[in-house]
Amino acid sequence: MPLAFAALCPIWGMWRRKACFPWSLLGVAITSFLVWSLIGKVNASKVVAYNVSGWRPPWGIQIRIDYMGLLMACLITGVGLMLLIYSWRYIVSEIKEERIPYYYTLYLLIFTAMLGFSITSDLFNFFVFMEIFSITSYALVAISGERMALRAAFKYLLMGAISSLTVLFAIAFLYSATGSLNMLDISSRLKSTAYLPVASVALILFIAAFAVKSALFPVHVWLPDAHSIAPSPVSALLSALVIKMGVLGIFRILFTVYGHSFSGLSSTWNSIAGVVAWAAALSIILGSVMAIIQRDLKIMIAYSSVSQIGYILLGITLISTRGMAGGLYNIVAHAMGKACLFLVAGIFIYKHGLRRIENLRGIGRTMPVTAGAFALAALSIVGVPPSAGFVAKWYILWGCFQEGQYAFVIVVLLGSLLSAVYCFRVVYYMFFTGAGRPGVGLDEAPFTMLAPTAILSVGTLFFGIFATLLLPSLNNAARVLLLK
Amino acid sequence: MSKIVHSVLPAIIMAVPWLAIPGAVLWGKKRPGAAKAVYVGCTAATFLLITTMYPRAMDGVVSVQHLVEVAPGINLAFRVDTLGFYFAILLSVIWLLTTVYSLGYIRTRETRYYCFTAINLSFCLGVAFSANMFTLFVFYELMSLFTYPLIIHEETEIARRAGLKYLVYTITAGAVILAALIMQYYYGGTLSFLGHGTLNSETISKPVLLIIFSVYMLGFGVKACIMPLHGWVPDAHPAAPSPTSALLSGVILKVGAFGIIRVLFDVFGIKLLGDLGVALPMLWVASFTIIVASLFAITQNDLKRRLAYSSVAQVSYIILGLFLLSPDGAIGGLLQIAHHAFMKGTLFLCAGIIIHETGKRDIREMNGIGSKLPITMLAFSVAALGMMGTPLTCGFITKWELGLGSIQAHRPYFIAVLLLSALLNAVYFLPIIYIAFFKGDPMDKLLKHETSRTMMVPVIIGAAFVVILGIFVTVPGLPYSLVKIVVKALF
Amino acid sequence: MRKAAVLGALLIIGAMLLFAIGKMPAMNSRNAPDKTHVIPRYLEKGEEEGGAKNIVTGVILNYRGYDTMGEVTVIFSALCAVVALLDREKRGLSRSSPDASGVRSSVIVRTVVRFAFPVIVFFAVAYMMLHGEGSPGGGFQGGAILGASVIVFTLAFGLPESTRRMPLKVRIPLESTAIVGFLAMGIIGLAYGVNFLTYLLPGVHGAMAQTVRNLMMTVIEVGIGIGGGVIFISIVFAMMREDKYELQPDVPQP
Repeated sequence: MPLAFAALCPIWGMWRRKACFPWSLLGVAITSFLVWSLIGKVNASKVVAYNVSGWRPPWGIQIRIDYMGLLMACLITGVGLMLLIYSWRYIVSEIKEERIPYYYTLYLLIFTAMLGFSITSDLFNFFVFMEIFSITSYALVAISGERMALRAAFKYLLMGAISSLTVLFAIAFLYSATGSLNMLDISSRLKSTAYLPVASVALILFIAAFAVKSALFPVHVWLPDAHSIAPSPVSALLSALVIKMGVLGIFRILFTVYGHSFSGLSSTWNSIAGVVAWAAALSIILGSVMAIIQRDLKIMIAYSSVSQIGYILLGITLISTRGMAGGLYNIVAHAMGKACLFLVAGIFIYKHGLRRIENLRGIGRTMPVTAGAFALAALSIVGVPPSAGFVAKWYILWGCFQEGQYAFVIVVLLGSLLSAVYCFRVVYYMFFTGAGRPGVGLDEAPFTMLAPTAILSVGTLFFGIFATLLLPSLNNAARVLLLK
Repeated sequence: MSKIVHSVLPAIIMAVPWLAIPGAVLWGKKRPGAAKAVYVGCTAATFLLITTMYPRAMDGVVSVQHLVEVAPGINLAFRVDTLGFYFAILLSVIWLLTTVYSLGYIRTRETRYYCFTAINLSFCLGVAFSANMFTLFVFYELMSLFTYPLIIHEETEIARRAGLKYLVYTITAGAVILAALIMQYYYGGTLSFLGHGTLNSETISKPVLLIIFSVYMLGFGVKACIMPLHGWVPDAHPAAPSPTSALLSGVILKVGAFGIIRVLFDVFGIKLLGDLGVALPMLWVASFTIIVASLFAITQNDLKRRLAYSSVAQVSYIILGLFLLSPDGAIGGLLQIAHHAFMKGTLFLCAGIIIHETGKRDIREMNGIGSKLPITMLAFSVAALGMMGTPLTCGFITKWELGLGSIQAHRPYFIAVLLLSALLNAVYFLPIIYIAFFKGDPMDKLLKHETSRTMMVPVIIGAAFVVILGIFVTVPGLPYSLVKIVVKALF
Repeated sequence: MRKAAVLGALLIIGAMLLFAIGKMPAMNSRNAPDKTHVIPRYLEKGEEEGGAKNIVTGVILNYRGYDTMGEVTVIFSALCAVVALLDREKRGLSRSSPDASGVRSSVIVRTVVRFAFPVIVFFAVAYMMLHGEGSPGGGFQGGAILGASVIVFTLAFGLPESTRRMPLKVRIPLESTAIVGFLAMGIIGLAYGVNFLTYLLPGVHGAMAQTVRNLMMTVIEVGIGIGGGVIFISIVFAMMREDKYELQPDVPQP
């Protein structure tokens, strides 16, 4: 029981008043350090549990870090740190001066909430953290205060609020059926509950609500607006991490709370997993197609997120160990790749005010590092070996074969072809068109913006080559969850 | 079983071409001389390093090196057997020739050209050295993507179109190969090359094997331009600068063929393929490609386009030879890799000189060009005669072995295909020679001037190889000796 | 088409909810799962373990204290969101422009409010917050009343008057008292080597332990009350405020 952990989550509380860059950087860095120090412990003992207030569950609230939580926490801290460093120079150009302290405050809040969301094992606590990151993300989308931003945020707010409410309903139903709020406790009590219809309705509500949060196909409509209009580090944060929280929600509900091979509800469970898988497949295809027809770089990247989320959820709901490992791996790959793409888009806006893809002609000549980072991250999004995206797709495909879902094989391959179209189109404009202006040498972004971008893009390559760092754990986790 | 030694040499060899990049990037603008020197130096060093592996290859010793385990059971690893060495040494020679040539030819965006050529050399070597299908696929895909900048090097509208077509074909093929790869892994349990087939018909049902096989062929067939999948070739070759065309035809199409070879020998194995009964359809497809592509070549008036169609036809010789599933056939197919590389490389480099010096691409405008560029056209004629299979050139040896192979495989009717193809080759090459030397106006003689030495030397060496490989066939170290070892181990 | 789809979805969800409610355990059933699992422990041992006579307070602050901290953070997030977006007070700047809205209400209202105001504040602080652990009430309720009192005051005397009495530099530190209170108490527990937000400290026994526990919970209650109250006030201020110069361009007037 690591005592150090307790400080992890709430540590942010002290620095919102003096909300300024170094202070939040310190906070995020300390938190990251604490999270990373947990890696060894979780690896050693599979799970680290911590009872807040000293009460055992189900009476008190328990924080429980399993592989999944740890993975998310590491990702949040790693990517979050990069984005924060990037924000320092960037937001000055997009946000009014007096709002900057609040930007950092909201940033820290969302950071904290996501961490809490990843590691809690109490359903109501889950909801509370979900509310925090939802509210803060609405505000972050709208923080530039422009008309379009407010509209996008309002759309996001409406859909998000409905989904939050749905989660609350579902929690209430589950509580009435089991009398408990602790996930594991619910899971064990569900096995003997007499109120199966209530529990299955709750399951449907949960999945529907988290589908909105993770922008799954029919309910993704808020995402392209919100993600493209927000300031770029925020877009990166939303795409890389916040929608992953929806995925995590689906994951927790399906596997931690309800559980595979659970007799009473297995038919409902299976059909829901099937529906999610098909919705994910549709997301893959339609998200890519929509991305192809976009002319605005950030909207294109946003649609690409819809498609990539499809990969993640498809992998998870294949109910095969390999597929799940692939889905989880794509969380990592997509978080880094997509964050990098948004940061690059941000650099173009910051330096030249460019948003449209065809205006990026020849930019690879004056900004080789930025454009190179984009190309590298794009390779991962497409799934070209050896990148993290490739490993993820490899495992998802493997999962498809394990389960004999040949239709999904075609979907996955077609999806990567389509994503190749939209990614390489941008790379093409950046590197292979437009004459280099003579006399113009390098014109790169400031170091604090360039470094996080470059680190994230190299990260996609690193996790493509050294995938064994993560994959065995993911495989084990998947095996445990699926009881295979 | 062949002896196995551990060696870091493949990894070192692959790293060498990358050294050209800093040189090209740092000095590209200010000191082009230094950049060129580094670029050629790296390519030459790669070649020399590969030659040091020659003794091992001749003894059939396999050098292996494990790089990194990407995922459990899936490794990036190198393994140089005789076949890999054969391919590596061949491609480094071709690369060296075109590299020297490109110093004179490429006049714009040199930095980008040098960087991507060097990177591609590394990736092609990666394909040759790969120890399993996964490694092969990784480098194959990277090579495919990094060839794109070379094809659209000139950034004309035609080049862009061709590049787009190339990308569409190649990326789709990549996805298809991925599907085959994962099926192989899922059903077969391993991706490693062990010198014999790893799939076996006892544990895997026949339809599944057939599916895996056809998906692989679809995937690699795009690069090896088997006929319905060849669409990108006639566009990409003329659009690319000539040294790149030479590389495309000489090496990169062969990488696709190399993939097929690995599928044939190290994934399925000769015996299993014989049982599956897929050889005959493949033979017909290859024959179809040879004949039809040759017919297409006759109708082309653009010199490089004609050469490109000729390549489509010639690469199918490799396929034809391999799927005869007989030792001599295999020797012929494998020899064709090297022989065609030299012949077609020379032809494309000559075409490059013609375009560079006269700006003419249309064959009908080349009247009397032989008197203007005598050495070039002489080299061109030698290579063209080789393509027709004239004795004393390497093209003859290939056709001879293929003919022997088809008799050995009890399928003598494929000799007819070979003869018909030789005839068609004559139909589309002889007019060029005729136009060049015997037609047109003697006034051109006054304008006689050959091109720069950096472009001339590779062409002469290439033409010389066409003859040398046709006369000194069995000299140790030349392709025949290596191929012999490979085939002996297989049959 | 679109409307029909939305309507259809709503109908399906509605039907599902009604169906589930119909299948839920009866409200007053003693055997419903929610009444047989966790609740009995709260009811039986709540007073002794939770340290509060008011069981609700015990559950909120003790058993599920971490949740409550989260909820406080939700409110704080809402404040940040509102302030970041409306931002009429120019909080990030050292100087802000004067407020333009100033409606004064009638004498009667002002007099009544002037008398009632201290009473309401006293009720909120002394009764709801300080005594929250022993009787109905608590930090949230106290905070709401506190906030309401200031809102009433503002309605009567106008925004300039109330912002003069509660300027930004007072409010900003107070807004975070709730979270700080939680954290501080949590860290005390950590310092004693027990889990975060544990009130029963090792090494403190008997009646002393009770006292310490009650003290800590009271601190948190007051923190929630004041923090919550001030957050409400700030939100209301941010919404009411009309900036005199807002509609005018940034050029000097002739």
